[in-house]
Amino acid sequence: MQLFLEQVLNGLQFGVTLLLMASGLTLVFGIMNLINLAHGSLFMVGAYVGATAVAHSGSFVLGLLCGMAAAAIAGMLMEVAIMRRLYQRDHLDQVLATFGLILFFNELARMVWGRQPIGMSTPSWLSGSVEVIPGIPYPEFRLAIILVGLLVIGLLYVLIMRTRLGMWIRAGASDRETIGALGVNIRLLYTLVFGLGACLAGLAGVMAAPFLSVESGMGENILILTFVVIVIGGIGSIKGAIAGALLIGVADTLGRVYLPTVAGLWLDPSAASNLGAALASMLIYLLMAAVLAVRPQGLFGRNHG
Amino acid sequence: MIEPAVVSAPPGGAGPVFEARSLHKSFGGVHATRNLSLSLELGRVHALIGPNGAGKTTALAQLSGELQPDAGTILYRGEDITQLSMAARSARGIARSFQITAVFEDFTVRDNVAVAVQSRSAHHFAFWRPAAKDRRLIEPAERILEQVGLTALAGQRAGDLSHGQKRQLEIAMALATEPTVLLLDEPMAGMGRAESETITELLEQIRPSHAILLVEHDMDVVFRLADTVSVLVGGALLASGTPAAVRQDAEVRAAYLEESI
Amino acid sequence: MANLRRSTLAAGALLIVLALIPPIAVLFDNPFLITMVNRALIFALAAVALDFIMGYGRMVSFGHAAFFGLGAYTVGILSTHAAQDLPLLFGWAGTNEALLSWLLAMLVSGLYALIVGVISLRTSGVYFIMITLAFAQLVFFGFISLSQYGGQDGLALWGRNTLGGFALDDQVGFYYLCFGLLLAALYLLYRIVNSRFGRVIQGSRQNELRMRALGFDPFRYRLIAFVISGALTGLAGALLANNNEFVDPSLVSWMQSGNFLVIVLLGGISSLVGPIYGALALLLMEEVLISITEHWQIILGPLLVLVVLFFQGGIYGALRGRPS
Repeated sequence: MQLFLEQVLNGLQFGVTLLLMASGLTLVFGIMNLINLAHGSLFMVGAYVGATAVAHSGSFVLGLLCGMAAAAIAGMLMEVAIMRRLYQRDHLDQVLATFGLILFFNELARMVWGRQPIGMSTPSWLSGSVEVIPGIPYPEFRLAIILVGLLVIGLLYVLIMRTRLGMWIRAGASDRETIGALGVNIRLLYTLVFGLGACLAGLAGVMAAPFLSVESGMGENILILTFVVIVIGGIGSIKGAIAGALLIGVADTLGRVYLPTVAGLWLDPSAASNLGAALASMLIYLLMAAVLAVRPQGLFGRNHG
Repeated sequence: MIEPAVVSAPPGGAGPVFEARSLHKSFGGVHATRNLSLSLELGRVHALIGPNGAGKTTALAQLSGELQPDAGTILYRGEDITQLSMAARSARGIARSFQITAVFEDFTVRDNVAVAVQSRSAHHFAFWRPAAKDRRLIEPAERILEQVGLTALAGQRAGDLSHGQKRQLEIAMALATEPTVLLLDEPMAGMGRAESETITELLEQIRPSHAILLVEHDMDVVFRLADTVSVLVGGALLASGTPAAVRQDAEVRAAYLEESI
Repeated sequence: MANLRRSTLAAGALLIVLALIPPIAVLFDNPFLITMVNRALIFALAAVALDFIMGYGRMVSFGHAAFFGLGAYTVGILSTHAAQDLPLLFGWAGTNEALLSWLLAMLVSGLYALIVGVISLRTSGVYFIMITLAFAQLVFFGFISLSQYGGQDGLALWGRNTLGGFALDDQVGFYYLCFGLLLAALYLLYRIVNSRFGRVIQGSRQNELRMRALGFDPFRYRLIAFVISGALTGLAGALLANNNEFVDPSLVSWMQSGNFLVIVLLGGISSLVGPIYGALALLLMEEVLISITEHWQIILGPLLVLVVLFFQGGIYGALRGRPS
């Protein structure tokens, strides 16, 4: 039971990571109508830079800030150099161009950091445990991640719904010409929005780094899961993204923990662990297929075509 | 609830072939259609007029199957077709032209109509024979193009046509599906005088064998063609009757006609 | 019009050159050339199948590698069981006969295309891209989990299939077989695109609302086209399994799906023959770049971006001239 609750919390943690990614991706898609496959690469940039900063300075907070900054900068550079020319193009072109960016970033990572995955240690001042539920100690660090993630999502919500910048962002999503006529600098706005999305991805990357192997290509695995979150939740739905992220986060985590055990009931340990891991990966996609078969627009989606 | 003033009813035909009863449709808090009832009879043209934003296109969308009404029934030849999709209604003989021109831009004019002709045949899953050489598609298509006055443009890419010519093409496509009911959404919009004339004459020609609903702004066309005129304001019927009677009706004049003349 | 003739002539020239690759290879004493171009032809087949639905039907699938891999693995598994005489299903021990196993490969991938299509063709655009990608991932992890067939390390075949009893080991013979199949597929798809069925697919791409208003339900048509595309891609997978005598899960990776998209783009979308240019171009680029640096992807990536931004019609488009 204790293990189960712990794993559910771990699932929550993963879900928060996915939610950060989904928010960044949806922000850009919703406002600039741009599908950005390189969003995963920004995640990777955050993880790599963050891990490197932590390794050199020993400070997790510095790592966090560096990772976010690096991703934001990379994102804004990307936006100015390339994304600007893609806004008017159709989604296929955007997919292909950003696919090219993925190749670039993955190779860049290999060149700068080599092929061996790097690790990131968790900060010593968060290495204890906290009893979230009486009798069940949970690692402080993981808890911190969940809280930071939720805080950021909350801040994002406030930004979008309650500030003037947020108003422009929302208005820009529905009517680009009007806000341009109102004197808002659209180009700058888009760059900032893209930078914000990149920052979220970078944050997610740094926070996930201690639990994943930081290596070239790590961004794509999480990107695909982010897609599944969005598809299951329903494009354009905040509620959906939250529901999707939690569902996938918990399902994936529990799947990875328990499926090998289940498979072990009739297979030998190594085959079971192999099969279990693969089944856990497949579980997510089966879940998606099941949801879509029943509700093609996702759990909370409007009837999109 | 306002009862529409039936100012005077036109002489009865053989009973309505297409009927809408008490249609309601809201989007969020907006009542786009309120208790709308109307009927179409074979050999008659029913015009639907009203100011911008009155909900004419929404009404048409529900009649053609593009939108589902929240309440109400739609009957075709006595059959309840409210739940049927647009494609299913088209197969039964209900054709539609769109306010925003909807043609196949990359196909030639001839091929546009050929596809419409194809919809009536049973052989859709033919994978081998080139459609461009299929006489069973080409010949009817060319006949209709002649009827509509587009023969000269048959080989042109539809996307290159002028706005008015595209509207003509839309009507040709609607006709090619051999419909009984025609739901036309501002067919003359954007047409020049001559083109407008051609289409008006065409509608006069086909009137006897069809039941036509005409959403229009052009009052000359309306009063020339229509047997019945219904006035839609704010999603509800304000009045319905012969053109002459509707023209005289005080409420209608106040709400609408004064502005448009 | 002159441009259309130019592009048709170029395509004709291309096909003639391809037909002459084996003699050319002999001339330059470079047998590796045949294997390389053979590989390009196989990828071209898969890409042509993808262009069929992408270009004409606007179904952008980011998961076509699933059908590719399913076709390849079907051949691989059947061949492995046959070679070791291990029962597979109901006592049947697989087969090494191409006529049977390639047909099965097409059936398996076609069936998966049917499943994927039924679920995802109710959506379009970005949604569709994401969903097809996810379905391919499902297959990817599925194959990794099959440890009895090599799992992540892949499965080596015991040899190539036989075709009606004839071994396919002769590279030249195999090359012409692949070339012939590619031409047959091109012709088949060309007929389909221009048929009544193809009209509905193309029309639905241009204006779906109008298509519905005419009485067609695009879903059924798209599903059939998707299944045809999946089956042909499965055939390409079967050919690759034979060419490499090896199958592994990377055939189903999202990278592979991306490769197919790139090939279609490079060659020119909606042209059917374009993907052949694309496959050869990608092959050439990879060979050239690899010889320059081991970090060739850092050049290929930006190169792709440039092609997308500035060379929209692909190679075929350039030959044809910009459309007016």
